[in-house]
Amino acid sequence: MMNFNAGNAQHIGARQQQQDSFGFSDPSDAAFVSHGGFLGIVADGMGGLSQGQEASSIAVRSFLATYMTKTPLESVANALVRSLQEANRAVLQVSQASASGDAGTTLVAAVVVDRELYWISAGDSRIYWLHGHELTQLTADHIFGKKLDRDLAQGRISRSDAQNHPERASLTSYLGKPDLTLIDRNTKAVVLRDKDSVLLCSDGFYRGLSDAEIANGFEGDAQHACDKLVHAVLAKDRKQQDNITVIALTSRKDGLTFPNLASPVAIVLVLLLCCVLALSAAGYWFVRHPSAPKAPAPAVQQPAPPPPVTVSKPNIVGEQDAPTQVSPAVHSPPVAGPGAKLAPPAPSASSGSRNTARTSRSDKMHPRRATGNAGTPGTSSTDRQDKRGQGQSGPSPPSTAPRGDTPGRGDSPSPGTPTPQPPNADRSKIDSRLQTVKAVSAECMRQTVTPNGGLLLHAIRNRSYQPVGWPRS
Amino acid sequence: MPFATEVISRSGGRDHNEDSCAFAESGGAGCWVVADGLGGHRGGEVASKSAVQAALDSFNSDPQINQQALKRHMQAAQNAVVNAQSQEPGLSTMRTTIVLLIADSTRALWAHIGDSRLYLFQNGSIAFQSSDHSVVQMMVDAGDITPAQIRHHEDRNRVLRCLGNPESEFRPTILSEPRAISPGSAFLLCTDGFWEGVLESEMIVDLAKAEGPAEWLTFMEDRLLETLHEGDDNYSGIAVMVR
Repeated sequence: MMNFNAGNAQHIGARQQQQDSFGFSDPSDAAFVSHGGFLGIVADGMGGLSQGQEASSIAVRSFLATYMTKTPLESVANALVRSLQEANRAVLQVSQASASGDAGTTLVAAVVVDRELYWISAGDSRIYWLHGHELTQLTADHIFGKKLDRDLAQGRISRSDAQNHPERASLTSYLGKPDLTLIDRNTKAVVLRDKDSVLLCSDGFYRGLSDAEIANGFEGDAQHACDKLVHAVLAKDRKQQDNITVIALTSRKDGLTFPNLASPVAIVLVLLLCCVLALSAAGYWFVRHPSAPKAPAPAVQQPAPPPPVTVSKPNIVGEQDAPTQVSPAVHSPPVAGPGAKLAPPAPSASSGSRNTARTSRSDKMHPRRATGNAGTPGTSSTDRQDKRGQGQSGPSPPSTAPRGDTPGRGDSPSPGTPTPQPPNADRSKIDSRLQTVKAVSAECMRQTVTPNGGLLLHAIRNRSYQPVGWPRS
Repeated sequence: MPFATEVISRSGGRDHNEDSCAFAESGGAGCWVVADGLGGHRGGEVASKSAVQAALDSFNSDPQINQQALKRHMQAAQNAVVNAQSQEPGLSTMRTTIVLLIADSTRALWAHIGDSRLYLFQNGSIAFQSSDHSVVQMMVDAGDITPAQIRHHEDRNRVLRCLGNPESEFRPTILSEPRAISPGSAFLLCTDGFWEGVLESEMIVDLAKAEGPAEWLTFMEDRLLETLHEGDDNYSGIAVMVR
């Protein structure tokens, strides 16, 4: 019997939009939990304007909704594949409906049922398994660099060609791809032990921290650990820091330090405390969001209240106005209303980092374009240099990426365009974000669980979550 | 056959591959061998090849699953290396590690000398891991370092025992009783260039993902390649899954 303790933290980084989304299944649904376990999902959207947000949001919702249709007879591994395919269809629809037709998203999902762990992934978001201070990456990144490394090992290309290839970091699998065949998943369970943790994160998280920093920084309560790690990423003060998302599930044989839930006195105490805290959380909510819609709304149609991306409230753009929640809990950035696509370019103060965000995303999309001149020598991008820590181009060996898989993009950087550097203003923006990150992650937590009645109730339920066990086929 | 096998052997960051691996199956039983040669001037390559070939020949002439047979295979490998040393003066210092597995569908036995390893995986965890004949393993046994420090220790290449030493120093570790195996059991035999690049927990995870031995090896190789640099050791492995 294992108890679970869940945590999450998110930050927009130095970008103008939060394109990451995450969600959890409902841990209080004991009947479902007994065979379907507890599910966590992270998705990292890509695409111009609002499409990255929309793609990751719809992927998480669709995945969660499909997984909840799992019956006790279906294996967890099979339900994960089915959910991923359904999420892919949903993202494809978003993509096809958009003007440029290029929305996509990564997705990682992990299920803990009893002591067994199953996962699924497409793209370069990651899942880690933390046992003591031993951090093991479960997912393989779906990036072109993997193929280059294999070609090098088999003597088909030279070391410098492999290491300097401009498309090393390009994704070879993601949702929104018509032929989604490259999937990372396990078919046999990985068995967790007491105090083991599972971390799901976007690349904005793991690129900022070494394995040792993640392993040693993850301490105590899962929520506390997630907050602490996001702080650690922000403390690096990386230029053009991508969106950061991390969620964690920690197993606890001894349950929580909180009272034994079997005791009636304890239950009364817990409920009283919950009422008090839920009331104060609700009060906080209404103070901050006087006009927030009250009812959870299904799927994407619900536009976020205002504004399309502006620079007026840089600290928590993408997080603050996201009341559109479905149950079970999904956190995602607001889906921009129709106005967003038509919005004029942002004021010059923010255009630098806005362009940068686009640049890095379109890099990711490269191999899915008809290639050729996409990565010609001379093309530069700071993100690329970030990843490899060295110069740009090398000779370009013939790419095996499927041609014409996705139409080309209109907003890709033209070769030779120097990467825009963030204006100095961005540095102070990051600093101020650093100070507000605590509030932001607390808010994420609240938003995650609003439909179920408040942050602390959720946290307490997580901790006392005791799967009953079910014979799986 | 009750086994699915896949082999990988590459030069890594070097020009020459001095590792050898091979396997044979005969009448429901199988024999799998991995060796890591030492001693430049193609000596390492000759040593590992002759050891592997001699062990397999010995198995083919006597495919039983018992300790006596296993001892004879190891002795055959030792003799082959010593003979090859005497035939060519330039090769007199060549040596090799070896790890050898024999099994039928229900029982397995193994032996090794040096720092090539055998892992047995059962029920999603490591049921057995061979203990290296190396300086760093001795330090672990003495409590001076933790197992996690082996992979980065400066003395990790110092092997204490190997094939090709005089007969008095031929001291392989040989399992005394066969271990029970069943469908789902999996073995990994590999050289140090392989296990240094793949943590045990990663082996477990990749086994949980793999449909078969080829996929398992590919997943592990992908991890290894992430940290492989020019000049790094050859890497070789045999993955065996019991069906």
